[in-house]
Amino acid sequence: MRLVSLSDQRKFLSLKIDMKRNTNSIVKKKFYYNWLGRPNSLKRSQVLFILTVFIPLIALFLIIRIIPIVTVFGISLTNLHLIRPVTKFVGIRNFVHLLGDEQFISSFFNSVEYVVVAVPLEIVLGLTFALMLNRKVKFESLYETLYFIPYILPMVPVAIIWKWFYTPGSFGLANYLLGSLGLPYVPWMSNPKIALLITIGIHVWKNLGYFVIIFLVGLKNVPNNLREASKIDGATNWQTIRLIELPLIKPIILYGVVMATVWSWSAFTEVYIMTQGTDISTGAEIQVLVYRLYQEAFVFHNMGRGCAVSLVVFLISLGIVLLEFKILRWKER
Amino acid sequence: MYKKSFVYLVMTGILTVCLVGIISPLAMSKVRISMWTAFPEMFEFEKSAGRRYEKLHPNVEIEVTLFPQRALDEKAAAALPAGEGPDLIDFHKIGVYPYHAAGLMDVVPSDVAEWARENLPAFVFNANVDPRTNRLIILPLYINVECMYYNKDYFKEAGFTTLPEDIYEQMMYAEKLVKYDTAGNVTRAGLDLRLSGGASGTAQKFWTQAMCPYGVRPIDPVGDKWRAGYDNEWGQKALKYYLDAVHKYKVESLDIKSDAEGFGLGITSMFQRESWVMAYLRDHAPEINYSAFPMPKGPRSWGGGGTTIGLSVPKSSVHKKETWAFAKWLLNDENSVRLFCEAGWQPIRGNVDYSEVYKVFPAARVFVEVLNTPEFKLFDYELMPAIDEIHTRIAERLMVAFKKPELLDPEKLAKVIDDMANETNRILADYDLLAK
Repeated sequence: MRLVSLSDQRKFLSLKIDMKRNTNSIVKKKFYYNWLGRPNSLKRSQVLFILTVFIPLIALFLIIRIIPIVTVFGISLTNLHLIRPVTKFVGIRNFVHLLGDEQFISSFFNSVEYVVVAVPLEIVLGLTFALMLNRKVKFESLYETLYFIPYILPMVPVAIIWKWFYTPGSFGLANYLLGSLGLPYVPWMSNPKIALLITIGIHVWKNLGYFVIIFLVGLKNVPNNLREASKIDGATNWQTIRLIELPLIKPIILYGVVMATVWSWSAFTEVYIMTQGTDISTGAEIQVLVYRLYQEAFVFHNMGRGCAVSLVVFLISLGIVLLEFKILRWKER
Repeated sequence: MYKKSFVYLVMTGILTVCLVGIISPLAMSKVRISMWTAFPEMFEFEKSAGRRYEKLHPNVEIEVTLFPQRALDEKAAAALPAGEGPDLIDFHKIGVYPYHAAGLMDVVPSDVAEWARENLPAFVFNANVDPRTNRLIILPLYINVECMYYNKDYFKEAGFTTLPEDIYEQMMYAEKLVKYDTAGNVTRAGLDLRLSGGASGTAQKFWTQAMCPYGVRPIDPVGDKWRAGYDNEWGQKALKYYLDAVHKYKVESLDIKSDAEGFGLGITSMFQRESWVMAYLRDHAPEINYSAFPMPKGPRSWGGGGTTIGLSVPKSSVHKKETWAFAKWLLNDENSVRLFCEAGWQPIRGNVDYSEVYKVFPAARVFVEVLNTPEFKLFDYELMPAIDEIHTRIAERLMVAFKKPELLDPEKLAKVIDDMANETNRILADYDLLAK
């Protein structure tokens, strides 16, 4: 039988008294009626305070999120052209047009390839490097900095430098290196399949550091005693990673997957740079959805069609992210 | 009484000082003309011209801003409909025309238009007159006459003493000029055709190099509307000319740098471009021994692209009178010579003595002669809002087609041209411009 100390008994009694007082105060409390005529337990001043705090936030959210989405949906049902004086309601004609547009279909599949290739690469490589760095390696901060540098560089110069790297013939470093090893040149830019993959490579290279850092932060927050306990129980390194570390950083992995998906799905700058330039460029075959959106809206000034593309990008992105939430949270349950 | 008078006196004094303080800077302030351009070489020329104009007109201040071409597109699209544009824009006719159609730009004033009629080549003037209003919509400043640059050393090395006259002869020259490495890769293109690039440029090069000689155009007028002009055997021959060059004769490659940079690096023997390349070569590749010749003839036509780039004034400008005066001044004899020498771009005026320019750029003579040769037909873009979209979409399809050797099969080639033309017609229909 467990003995209870005198001080513990006192604490218990005082807690009981406090609870009783609170109950009495609730019973005595006057009811207020809200705008629906129902009893409200909050005082008017409290309600006012809540409204004062939340209304600006809600208004801001409406202005920068909800209203633009609704507006984009509305415009996508019209033939709005920036420089056409008359705008008409055209129903779903813009969406029907997109379904019959070969370049849109090809852009759609390129975007899908972007997500399918870039997201697993970013997550797996990010986790691998983070796990390695978490094993108390020498010069850990130096490695962290090196991985993170590409992420903070602006994409335009980065993409231009990569484009130089892949320049055909012996003018690009990639082919120069292959040539000096006695290997044949690779048509980096002229073969659309290779061109899309190297463009995805640029995207992964640029964002990898971000995922390494967020996974590393997550791993550092895993209590060390859990790792030590698993070692005492005879777990191997791989078992510790699989059964202790990864389950504990699952929310961070979910966040990483969502961010990687959104960024891949909305990739634009590197694709734009690779397709531009009169000396050499990849051609239009590597276009992605956001590139198509840019072209419809800002090159052809066709806002109705541009909004239709952006709505497609938004809805599919939302669908994928919800699916990812469902899969990862389902496993959590 | 005295006190009251004193107060009135002080109040009047303060009011006078305030009014003088407000009015005098307004009266003394300069007229500030803001100008946007998309071409780095033109930016330098326009900036220096602006400084000279300011000396001649001390009450005027010229502020020139350079944007990359696509950024200028976006900026114009956002600013002009909102009435926030600059006073003067130096831009492609096809980029500016939709804003004219939407009533956002000023037409050229009658006195300036009259001067332009007397001093500019007739076809240039006519190509910039809006058929709906019969008014000149931009003041042409320079022209994109395309000529064929060639490397004189390579021609000498191959034993050529004359220049190719037609496109078939040109292909034969290219076959002798091309070089390969041991693996069969092209290391020096016999003829650079510009097989890729952003936006509509690839289609415009194709138009000059292949469509013009075969006598077809991206769109043809039918009444007051339009239809795709290349959905026929000549359009197919134009595409075949390119495919032959890449996949049959292998005088050009998708894996070699092209355009001015390729020519400057010495990996291109011939390529078509505007006069600005001369300034580029002077600055970046002075060792290249080059000259130029007019675009070769074709079985059906002799000519090439001659698109106009000019000056436009948005309706939102508050200094229209001063801006048009500055725009007209930019076209005088001295500025035309300076423009050619400094920027390399070919001034629109053919009736100016360019002998000073020929000392700097001997090849410039070819460009001026082409402009003044009536038999050489120069094609400007059609004045219609859909033209940029049509050219861009054609360019996208062409870039895909150039990579496919299987299109040497006539049936497959015909289908590609047919699909391309259907898309052109679909765009025309979107703008309610498709002829039945």
